[in-house]
Amino acid sequence: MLEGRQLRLFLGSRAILRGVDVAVGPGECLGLFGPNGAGKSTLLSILSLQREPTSGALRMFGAPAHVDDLALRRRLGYLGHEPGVFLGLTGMENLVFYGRLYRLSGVARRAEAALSRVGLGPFRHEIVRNYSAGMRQRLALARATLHQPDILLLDEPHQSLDPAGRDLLDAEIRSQCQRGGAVIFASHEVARGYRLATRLMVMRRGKVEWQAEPASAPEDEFRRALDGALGGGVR
Amino acid sequence: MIRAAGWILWKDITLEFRGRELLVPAGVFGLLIAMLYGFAFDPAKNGLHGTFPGLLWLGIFFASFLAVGRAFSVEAEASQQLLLAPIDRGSLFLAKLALNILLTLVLAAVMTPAFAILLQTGLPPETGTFLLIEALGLVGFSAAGTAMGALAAQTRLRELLLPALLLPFTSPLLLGVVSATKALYGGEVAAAGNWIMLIAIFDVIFIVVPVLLFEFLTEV
Repeated sequence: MLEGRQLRLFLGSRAILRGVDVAVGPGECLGLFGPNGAGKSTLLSILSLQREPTSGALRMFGAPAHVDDLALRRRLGYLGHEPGVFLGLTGMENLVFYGRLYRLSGVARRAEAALSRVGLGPFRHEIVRNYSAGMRQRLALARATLHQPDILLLDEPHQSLDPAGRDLLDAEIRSQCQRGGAVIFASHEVARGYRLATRLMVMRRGKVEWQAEPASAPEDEFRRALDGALGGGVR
Repeated sequence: MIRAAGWILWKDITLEFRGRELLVPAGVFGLLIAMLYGFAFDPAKNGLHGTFPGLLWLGIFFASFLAVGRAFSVEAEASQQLLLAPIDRGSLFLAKLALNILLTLVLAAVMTPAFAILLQTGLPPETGTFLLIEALGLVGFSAAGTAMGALAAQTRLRELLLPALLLPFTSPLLLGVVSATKALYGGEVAAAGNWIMLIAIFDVIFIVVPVLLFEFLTEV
């Protein structure tokens, strides 16, 4: 579904990504881990077509992927560090607005269902400014999955969520994979991330330091790899 | 592109209707300018028909500047998400342009009578032509303001950069609308027509070019 080869990104002379290979197929859930500044968010910004890499090849669904490919954007869902929801609109209005930009049919029905799924059904007509941080994050999750994307990209998605919200997010990720979609998430939630991912990738200083499947790598091995990356400190 | 622009405009109008972050501060500022002009120029003693067009248009431009300059910063974080949606970025420009035109037209509708009353000049003769000049002038100002606002919004110095870009770029437009309004006061409708042509050319350039370049403007 998605394959990036030797992805590099330079900001001026500073290397942010130094040749990262990444791939996910249907039903796969790739977890990105590593210290702040490892390049996880930058990698996700490239995979979500927010920016082009300086060099390297990115392909999605068998074709080269570029930032101006609107048809491809339709197949991606992205949830960033910040919820990025409109505070002056209601939860329902936020989703209906995005649904219309994605040209979805039955937008109101879909929006209602998505809001109920993330536990915001009773608050759907409230202005988002009155939502808590966790509720805004739930709304952002509903927005990212409203159009049932084939690939879901999540950047530290558990941030701000309460335990119930975290479980709900995990269920959403599993459901995405079960219906044949792919998920790539960046996280600092080590135990939760280990349980969720079907493949683990530890990054440090813009490179992949270690990767394995949980089935073949016990959690303590993963933790050791991650400790090694974290011991290097931030870039 | 037009349909997506329509939805974005609906969202922006809803946000402005609820938050009143653009129109109210700009409108109050515009009315304060009118009052200060009234105090400073003593219109009862000094006939202001000769200077009224310049005073009016400077007032409208400065007040519009406040509204247009902030149009990209309202809910800026959420608006970044729009760049991920499968929409042509030209639709973002068209939506912001339409919003800015609406805002500046409302401002002008409030400020023009206020200026005419406080400066005791009355509206110019040929009111229909004057309204055409106002509409074309504000479309041009909004188009330039939207393009420059998009460019400035990508930088850290946006508050400084926007006036530095917008004021020089809109000076031909200001010259056009002031001269056209002056010509109306002097009863020279044909001369006003020439200036209206200049304003219309400015409008076309500042609408067409940014629609084509908006992708670039939002990535600089």
